[in-house]
Amino acid sequence: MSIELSRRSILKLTGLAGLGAAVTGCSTTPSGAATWSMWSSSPAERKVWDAFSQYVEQQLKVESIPTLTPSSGYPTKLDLQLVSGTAGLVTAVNGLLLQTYGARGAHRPLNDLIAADPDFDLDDFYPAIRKIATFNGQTYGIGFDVAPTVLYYNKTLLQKQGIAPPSPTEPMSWATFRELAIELSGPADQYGFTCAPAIDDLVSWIYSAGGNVMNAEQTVSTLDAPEALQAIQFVVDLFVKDKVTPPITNLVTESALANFLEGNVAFMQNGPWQVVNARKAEFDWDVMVFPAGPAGSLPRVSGSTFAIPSAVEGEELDLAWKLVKTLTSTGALDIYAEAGRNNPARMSSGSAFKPPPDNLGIVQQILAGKVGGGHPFDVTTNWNQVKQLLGQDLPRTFLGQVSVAEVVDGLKPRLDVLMQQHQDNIRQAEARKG
Amino acid sequence: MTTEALTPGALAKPGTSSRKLVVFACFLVTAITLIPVVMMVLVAFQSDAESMAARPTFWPSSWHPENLARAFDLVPLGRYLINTVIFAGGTTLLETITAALAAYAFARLNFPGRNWLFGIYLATLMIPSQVTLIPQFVLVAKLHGIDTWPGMILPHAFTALGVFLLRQFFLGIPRDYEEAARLDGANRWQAFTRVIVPLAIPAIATLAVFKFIGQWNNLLWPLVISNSDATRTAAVGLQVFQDTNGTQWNLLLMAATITTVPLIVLFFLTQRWFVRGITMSGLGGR
Amino acid sequence: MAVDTLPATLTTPQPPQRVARRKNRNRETLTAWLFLLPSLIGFLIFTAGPVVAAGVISLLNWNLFSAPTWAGLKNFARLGPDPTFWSALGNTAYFTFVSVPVTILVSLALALLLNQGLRRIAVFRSLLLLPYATITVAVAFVWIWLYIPHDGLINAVLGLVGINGPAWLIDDNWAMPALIAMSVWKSFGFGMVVFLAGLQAIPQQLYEAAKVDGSSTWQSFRNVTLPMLSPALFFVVVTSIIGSFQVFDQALIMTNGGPGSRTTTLVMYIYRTGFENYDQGYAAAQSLVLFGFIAVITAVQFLLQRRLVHYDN
Repeated sequence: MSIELSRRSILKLTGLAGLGAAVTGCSTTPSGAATWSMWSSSPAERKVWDAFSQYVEQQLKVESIPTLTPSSGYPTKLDLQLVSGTAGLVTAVNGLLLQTYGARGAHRPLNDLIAADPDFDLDDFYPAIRKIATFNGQTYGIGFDVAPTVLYYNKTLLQKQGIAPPSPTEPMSWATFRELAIELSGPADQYGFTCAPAIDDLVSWIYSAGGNVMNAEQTVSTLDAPEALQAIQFVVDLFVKDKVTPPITNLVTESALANFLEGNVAFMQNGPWQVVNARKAEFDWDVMVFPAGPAGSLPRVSGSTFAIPSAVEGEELDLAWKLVKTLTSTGALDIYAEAGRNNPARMSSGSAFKPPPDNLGIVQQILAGKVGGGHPFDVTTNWNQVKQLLGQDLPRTFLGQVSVAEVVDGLKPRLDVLMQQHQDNIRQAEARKG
Repeated sequence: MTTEALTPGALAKPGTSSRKLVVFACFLVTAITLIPVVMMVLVAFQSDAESMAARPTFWPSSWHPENLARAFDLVPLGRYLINTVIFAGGTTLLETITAALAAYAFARLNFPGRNWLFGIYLATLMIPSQVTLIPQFVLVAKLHGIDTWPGMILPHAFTALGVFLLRQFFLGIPRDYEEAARLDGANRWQAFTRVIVPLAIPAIATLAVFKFIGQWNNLLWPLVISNSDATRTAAVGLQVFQDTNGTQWNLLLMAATITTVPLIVLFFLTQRWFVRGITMSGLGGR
Repeated sequence: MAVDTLPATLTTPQPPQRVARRKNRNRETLTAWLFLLPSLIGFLIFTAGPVVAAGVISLLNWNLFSAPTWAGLKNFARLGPDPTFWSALGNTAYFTFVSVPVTILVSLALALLLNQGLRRIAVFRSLLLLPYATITVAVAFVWIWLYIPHDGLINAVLGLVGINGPAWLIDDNWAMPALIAMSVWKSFGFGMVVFLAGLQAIPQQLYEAAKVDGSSTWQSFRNVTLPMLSPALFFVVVTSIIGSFQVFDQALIMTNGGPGSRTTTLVMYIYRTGFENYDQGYAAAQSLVLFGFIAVITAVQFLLQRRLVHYDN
C-alpha cells in the first residue's frame, strides 16, 4: 500500500511542477514597448509620471510601461534590475549616482547617439545638469530636472521682529547672515537658521568659500584646505557656538523642513523641491539667493537624468534613444514644470515655480546665470562611500563633541584613500572601454 | 509566592488573591509593552502638521479619523492587503506543508546523510538574506518570474526555519504513540497523518503564524519583485508615504496600523490551535 | 569466473533477519526521500542555490555591472586588516550576547505568566504579540521619538524620578543598549509563543506525579518544566542567536550605524559593501566569515544539547 501512495504523490509532484513552470512562463513584456524605471513615492509624483507615460504613448505610438518604485528602495531595485537585465530601455539616475553607475559599466555613454542625431540639441539643457550628467568626459544621461539650493525665509517672523525682508537677488554676505541669524535667535524658542548637519548642505558653503571636498583632478581630498575649513567652521559655529539652530534630537530623522515648518525658524537652507511642502506652512515665506562667501554665492546644484542601461542594443537601442529624447523633450518637461515639484532641465521649458510667493522665479534665473550663482555637485565614482564616511564623523562636530580641525584631520587620510580608489575606478572603466 | 508561578495553573485558582495578582500582572505587563504601539496609533490620528512637527507630540491635539479613509485613498491599500494575504498565505502554506513532511523524515526516519542534510538546511539560516538577494533575483528573472505570484512566493517558501522548528518538536513527541499505531498496522504516512500531525498542531500553528507574520511584513523582497499594483504588498505600500522630500508620519503610521490589525485578529481567532487538545492520559505511566 | 568476483554477501545465503533488516532500511530510506522531496526541491533551487552562488561570488571581484574577475582568496585576506569589519563584528557580538539572554528570559517569564490557566489568556497572548507583528519600518520611528533626549517619553519618565536620561541614540555608550532594548521588545513575542506551545505540551500528570513525590514548586520547575521545555528552549536559543547575528533593519533605521560606527552591525557593513560600494566579492566573503562564526556557535550548542536537551528516548 505504501508503494501505491508514493506513486500517487510522485504524480502529484510532477503535476505541480509542470503547472508551476507553465505559470512562471506567463510574464513577459510585449516586445516593442517603451519600458522605463523611475522613482515615485507619493500619489502626486505618480500622477506626474502617469502624465509622462501618456505623453510617450502619444509621441512614440508604442505602449509605455513605467516601473515606479518608492524612492527609498529605488537604488537597490535598480541594481537588481540592471544585474538581471530587466531594467527596461531607460532608467532614471540621480545625479549623485551617475558617476557610480557609469564607472562600473551599468549604463552606456550617449555621445555616439547624440552625435548621430541632428535633431537633438544638448545646448538647450542648463550647463549645470550637463556637467552633472558627465563621467570621464562622456555624457551618460540626459537631464530632466536641475535646481540650486536656495535660502528660504519666514516673512512673518522677520516682520514680527521688524527686520526688512532681504533682497531676493542680492546675496547676503556671511557676516550679515550670521548677524541676522543671531538677532533672530534672540527671543526664547526662536531660531535663526536650520539646515541638514551633513555634507549635502555643507558643500554649498564650501563651494561659496572657494573650496571643494576634493581637488579638481579628484586625486586627493581638499577638505583640510583653508577655504573648506573656513566654511565648515562657519556652519558648525552657527550650531555650536552661536546656537542659532534648533537642537538636534536624532541624526536620522533630523529635518530642516520640519524645523522650518514649526514657524519659529527664520532661515532654512534647502532645495526648491521643498516648495511643494513649504506651501503647507501656516506663515508667509519666500526664497532668496544663497549667502555669498569669499568666492561668491555658489550653492550646490543638483539634478537627475535618464540613462540607458548597457545591456540595451540593436533595435532596442533605437527605441531607447527615442524614449530618452521624449522623456526629456520640451513637451514632457513642460508637464514636469506644470507639476511644480522641481525645475525642468531644459531652458526652453516652462517654469516650475510660479508665485506665490513672489521670488520663486529666481530659481531659473540662478541656473541661467543671471543672479547669484551655483556649483554643480561634484561627486566621485564611490560617492556612497565618501558620503558614508562623512556622515559617520561629521555629526560629532555639529553636536559639539569634537572640534572641526580634529574631525577633518581624522577624515583627510581616509578620504585620500577613497580618492585613490575613485581614480582606480576611472582607470578600470577606461580599460574596459579600450 | 513568585516561585509558584513556575508551575502551570498553580497560581490561578479562581478566587485566590494570587489569581488576582496574576491578572493584575498580566494587565500591567501588557499595558507597558503596548505603549509604543498605542503611540503609533495615536500619531495616526493626528493632523498632517502635528505629525510632521519637529518636536513630536503623542496625544493628538485634534483627532482626524478621516486619516483612515485617506490612507486607503492615497494608496490602493485594499488591493495591497489582498496581495499581502496571497503572498504571506502562499509562502506559509507551502513552507508549512513541505517542512512538516521533511521534519518527519529528519526526526523519525533513518537514512544515509541525514545529519549532513540537516546541517545544510541549518547552514542556509546563517547566511544573511542581503547576500542571497542578488542570486535569488537573477534566478527569478531568468525564469521569467518577475512581477508574478510564483516568482514572489516560491523563493521564500522553502526556508530551513520550518524544518528546524518542526524537527525539534517532533523529536519531543514520545515514540510510544507511533509505535502503538504501527503495531496496529499503520504505515509511515498514516503514522504521520494520524499520530504526529494531530499531536504537533501547536507547533505547526506556531510555525504558520510566524511565517505568516514574517512574510506579511517583508518589505525588501516584494519591493524588488513586484512592478505593478497587481502584486504589490502593503509593506511596499507604506513606502508611498516616505519620499525624498519627507515623511507623512500620520498617514504612514495609520497605514501601518491598518496593516497590523489583520495579523492580530488572525492570531486571536486561531488561538485554539495553540492549545493542546489531546490529553495524554491512558498511555502508560509517563 | 563471474562467481569468483561476486561479493561474498551475494553468494553466501543470508540469515533471514539480516535480509529483512536491509530491506526495511532501504524502504525507510525511500520513504524518507519521499517525505523530503517537496521541501528539498524548492530548498535546493531557491534557498541553497543562492547560498552556493554567494560562495562562488566570494571568490570573485565583481561590481555587479561588469564582468567579474577572479580574486581567489584575496577577499578573505582583506578581512584581517579591515578595522571596520572587526568593529562591526564586535558590535554584533555585543548585541547578540546581551539581547538573546534578555529576550529569552522575558519570553520565558511571560510564557509562564500566561500559562496560569486564565480564561482571558487568548486576549493577552494576542496583544502581547503586537510588538512582533508591527512592521519594523513604522514602529522603529516611534521608538526614535521615545528616545529623544529632552522631550522623549523615556527621558520624561526618568526625569519624574529624578534621573537625567542620556541622549540614547546619539550617545556613544547608550546607542547600543537603546537598540538592544528596542530589539528585545520587538522579538520577545516569538519565544513567548514557542514556549507557550511547549508548556502546553507538558502532560499534567508529570506535575501531579512530582507533587505526589513531595517536590516543591521550584523543584517541579527544574525537574519537569525545564527538561520538557528544553527542545523548545534549544530551538529558541539557536534561532535567536542566528537571528541576532544578522540584525540589520532597526539599526539602519534608528541610528544608521552611528554615532560614528558604534552601532554598525556586520550585516549592515555587508549590505553597504555589496550595495553601496558595489564590492560584491568582499561582501560575500564577509558573509561567509559571519556564517563561520554562527556555525561554530551553533555546532557547540548542538553538541551541548546531547547533555542538556531532553528528547523522548
